[in-house]
Amino acid sequence: MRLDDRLQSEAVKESALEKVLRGDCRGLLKEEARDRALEEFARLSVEASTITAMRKAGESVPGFIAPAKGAKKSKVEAALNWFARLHQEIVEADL
Amino acid sequence: MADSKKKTTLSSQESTNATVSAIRAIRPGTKRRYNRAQLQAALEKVYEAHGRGALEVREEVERVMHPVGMGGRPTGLQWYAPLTLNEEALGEWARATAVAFIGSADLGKALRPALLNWRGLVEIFPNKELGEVKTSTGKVRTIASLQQLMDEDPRVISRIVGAPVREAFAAYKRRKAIAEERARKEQAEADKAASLVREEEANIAALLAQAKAQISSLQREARLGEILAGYEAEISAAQQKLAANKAAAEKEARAAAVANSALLATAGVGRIMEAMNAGNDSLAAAWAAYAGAKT
Repeated sequence: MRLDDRLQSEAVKESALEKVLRGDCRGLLKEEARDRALEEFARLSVEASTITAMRKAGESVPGFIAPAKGAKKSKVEAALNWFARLHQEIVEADL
Repeated sequence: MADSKKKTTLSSQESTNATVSAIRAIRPGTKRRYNRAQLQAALEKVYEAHGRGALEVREEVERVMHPVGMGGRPTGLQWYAPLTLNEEALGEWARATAVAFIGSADLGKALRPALLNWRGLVEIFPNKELGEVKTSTGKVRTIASLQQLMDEDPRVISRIVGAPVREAFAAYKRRKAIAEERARKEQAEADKAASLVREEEANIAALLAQAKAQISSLQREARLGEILAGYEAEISAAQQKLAANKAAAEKEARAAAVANSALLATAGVGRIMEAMNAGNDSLAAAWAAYAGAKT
């Protein structure tokens, strides 16, 4: 018999990713929030070397839109790391 | 009749001259004594030496010598004496002023000392304090002539001129303080005006900065919108997934709360011991707290 700790704050902790993607995604303009969201996204996605493994890992990644069957590996990899790409673009635009 | 009158006048004049000659004959050392009219005329010469009329010279002398105005109020900065309270220096100044006044006129050898000793000349010092003066030796004497004034000890002279000088000095300090106060007020007003201008400029600068920040913010949002346009599908999917995750977590948390409540409701001494023996300290503590709250 153990107490269920899912009631504790960690169990329903607010997602940094959800925070920056809320509404019109204005939260992405805040550098600190944006970086926290990227960290969370990195924790959620799992590194995979094959297309199959990437598609499998993508199931648990928020915002992963699986490319059509037969798509190249780079395309699947890009779909899996979509937030990292978005983050990179924002940084390059110096926002 | 007219001739008889003329004769009478001439005889009177002749008689006077004869009397003077007779006195001189008796006392050959006696000097001729100038009458008031002659001394007045000599004084006019002194005035002429100054190049101005008697009235002008009198006014100037009064102004120089007498710092107290007609109403008894000091004329302050019009006083030409040195601005010092050193009595010796004031005495020297008074003496030098008197010498310069008489010395500038082209007067005869005998007339000069006569003029200096003439009591009427003291009138050029229209000063109340020219009356009785206590000297350094303690005697009380009257300043009867300019010569006596000049011959006096500087400390005695300073008693004559010192009071009006001190009065003028006080007036000078008072006026200086008033001028400084006025300058301070003007400076404060100028500072206030400058401060208002600076404040206004700062407000304008702040408004400009605010406007720039707003423009910059709008530009950043617009640029972000352009970038996000390529990720609309991903963002939408992510929002849905994250919302679903959150709802599931909350549901699980609610279920856990119900289970925990049911578990805690079974609290009792035996259950606490059981949990402690099993090494489940957190459950034992929760049960103990629950049991304690219940009692």
